[in-house]
Amino acid sequence: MKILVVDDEQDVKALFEQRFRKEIKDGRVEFAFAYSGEDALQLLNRWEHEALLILSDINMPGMSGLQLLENVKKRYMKPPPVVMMITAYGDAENYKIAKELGADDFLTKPVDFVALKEKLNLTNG
Amino acid sequence: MRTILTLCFFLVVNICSAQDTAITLSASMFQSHQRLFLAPLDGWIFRQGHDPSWADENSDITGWKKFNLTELTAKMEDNTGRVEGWFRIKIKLDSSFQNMPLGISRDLWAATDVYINGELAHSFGNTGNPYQPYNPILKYPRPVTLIPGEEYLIAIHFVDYETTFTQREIRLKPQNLQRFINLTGPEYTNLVTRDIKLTHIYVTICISVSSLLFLLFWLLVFLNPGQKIFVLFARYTTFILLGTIFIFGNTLFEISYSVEKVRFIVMSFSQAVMVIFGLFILEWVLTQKISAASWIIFIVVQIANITAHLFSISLPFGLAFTIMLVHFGRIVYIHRKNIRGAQWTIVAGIILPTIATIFYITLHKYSLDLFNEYDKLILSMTVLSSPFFLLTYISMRFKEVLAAVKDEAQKVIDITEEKRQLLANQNLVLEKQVEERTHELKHSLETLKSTQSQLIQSEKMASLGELTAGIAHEIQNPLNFVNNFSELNTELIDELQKELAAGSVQSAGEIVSDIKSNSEKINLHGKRAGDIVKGMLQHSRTSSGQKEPTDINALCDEYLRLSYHGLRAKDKSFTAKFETELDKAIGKINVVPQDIGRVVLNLINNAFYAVNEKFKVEGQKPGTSYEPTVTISTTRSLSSAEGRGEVIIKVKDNGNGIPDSIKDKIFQPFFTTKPTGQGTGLGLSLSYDIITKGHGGQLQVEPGEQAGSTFIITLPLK
Repeated sequence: MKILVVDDEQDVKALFEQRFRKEIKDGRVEFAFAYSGEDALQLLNRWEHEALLILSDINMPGMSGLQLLENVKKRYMKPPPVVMMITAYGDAENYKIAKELGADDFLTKPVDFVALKEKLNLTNG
Repeated sequence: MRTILTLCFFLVVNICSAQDTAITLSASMFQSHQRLFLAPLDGWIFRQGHDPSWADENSDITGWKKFNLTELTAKMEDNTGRVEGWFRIKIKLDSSFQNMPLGISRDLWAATDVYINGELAHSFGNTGNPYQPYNPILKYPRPVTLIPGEEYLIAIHFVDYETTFTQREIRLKPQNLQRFINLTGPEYTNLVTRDIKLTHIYVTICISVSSLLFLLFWLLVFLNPGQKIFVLFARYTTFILLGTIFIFGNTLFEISYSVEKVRFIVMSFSQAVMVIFGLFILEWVLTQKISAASWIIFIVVQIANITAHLFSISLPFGLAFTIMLVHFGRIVYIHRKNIRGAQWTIVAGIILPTIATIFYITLHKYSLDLFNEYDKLILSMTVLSSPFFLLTYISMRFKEVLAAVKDEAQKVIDITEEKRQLLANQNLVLEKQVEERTHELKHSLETLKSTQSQLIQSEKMASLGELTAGIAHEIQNPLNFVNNFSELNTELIDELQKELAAGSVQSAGEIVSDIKSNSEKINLHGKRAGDIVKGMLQHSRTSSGQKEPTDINALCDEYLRLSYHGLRAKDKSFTAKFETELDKAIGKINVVPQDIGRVVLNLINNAFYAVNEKFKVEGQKPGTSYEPTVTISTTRSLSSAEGRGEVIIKVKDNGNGIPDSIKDKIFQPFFTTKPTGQGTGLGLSLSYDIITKGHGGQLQVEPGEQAGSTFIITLPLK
């Protein structure tokens, strides 16, 4: 499974790679990282029709996570990839908008990786 | 005694009624100034017609009737208006005339020949052809020689030949005919001499004075147009001048009877006009108008006046004159309380000549002695007193006007002084007020200052509010890393223990380096979170005003991110690109970090607001290429105007820019383009103060209308 993580924080890469060290080693997941919405869209263009999970932060300079979500869900590709939004704690507003835009699932910061893995397994399953 | 004698004498005359009885004349019979009127004597006999022989002592006197000269009437005229006849009388002078030079005088115009004892003694005018009346004005008596004690036959041949339409002497009342012929003594001669002298004196005075007054008043009219009173006076003096000329006209030259009659009528007319016009002036001065009643009275008096003087019908004139006096007397009476100052001279100037006229007439009738003595004086008074009083009026008016002017001037001075005092008082009051106001202002200023500091605080809190959401977000990221990396490390340590137990040293080494790297990350993100909290606290804290070395680039970066996330937190639809172009060479410079941070935050907030506003419009358009972007750049310049070098911070947006119309206002306090409740309007104003006053720098704007605006902070290096 290919997972595209979109976040403007550079350390996200290190975090995910370590958190999913075993899964990566086993070849169960493959991670790609984009540091902005624009980068993410470029990558998606390149990987057209690949089965994909997108994990996106919302607050980013330039294109926000919500815009990315909108792009992916409404205009981008068929079948649309699964998109999980990472929102700040208690950010009901963003949650609601993302839901409307067709977000498939939500994570709250700080990211609970145990829960995330469960969700990914479910998704895989 | 003399009266008794005279009475006896008349009794004797009446008894001796025979014609040829001589009438004895005595010096006691002299009227004033030794003048004996012969006309009213009782001994006259008369016959109408003419025969030269009737002068003769021996001519037949049958058919003659007893008739004296005062009994002549106009009824005796023939169809040509001629009256001719002879009178005869015998007289004897008593001893009272001893050694007295005698003369014959006449005061009437009818041509008359006087015969004494049949001899022509003197011709007054010409009774023959051509008829020539006798001018009696200012004439000396003709000397005659009559010896006392001797009897004389006096025969008079007279002709009165005038048109019936003029006032003829024979129409006069009997008392006027008394002076037909008189016997005079030397005193009368003296009187004539005196009369001639006085006449010339008074004529000269009256004519020259009234001419001068005439000129003077018309000059006044000419110099003061619009002064009705002067016009009235000038007309009045015109009538006075005319009146004077006509009154004295018959004494200026040997006047003919026809001219004399005209003069007489014109004089009568002028005198009436003078009197009434004077009364008009009085009325005008008192009431400022001349009533219709006055004009009617004027006309009636004038008509009555002419009939009186042409036909000797004096009753209507007397009545009209009386009515006139009553009418104007009434006006004076009604307005007596309003008569002030100079007006009295008018009243006097009208009343005095009227009184003089009445006095003149009365004197003429009842006291010829006094009349002969003072007639010229009184006449002059009737003529000249009015204009003199008018002159006095003008003098007094002038004085009054001057006094009024002086009064006005004094008033002006008083008012000026009053105003000056008022001004001085007002100045005092004003000074006091200014003091009070200054005090109030000081108080207001203090209040304002405290309000301002409160506002600054609330502005700070407002931007803090914006910050909080951003901070909450910002702090999530480092926390995310801190939590996850620490959890990871726990896991890694578990794995490490397993590997160590398994004796796999290589794997253990890899895990340890991971743990180290992770704990470094934990440390880094922990610090980051700490910085964010510190920054927030610094921002909300009242500025210490203490300058300290500050990393401008870090400050800009931090606030840019804070601002961005703060806005994102508030408005989910908001998005913008932000870029930093930071000059690494800047290093740390001495500023008040909280203050500069606030300015930077404010400018960045504004920039994001601007691009968002534009995006709200542009973003909706299909196929838009608008990309909201905010760029913050820092540069260090070594060549400032002061040569000290400077740091420039530019906050650039690609929003809608600032319209020229508000460019000058944006740094004013409370100016905001944001909707009510969204902006305090203090941000830029406070920023401006912080940069210019707090740091000696400059805050400028390049308000590119389409390209967006750029705010430029210039901080001098010390």
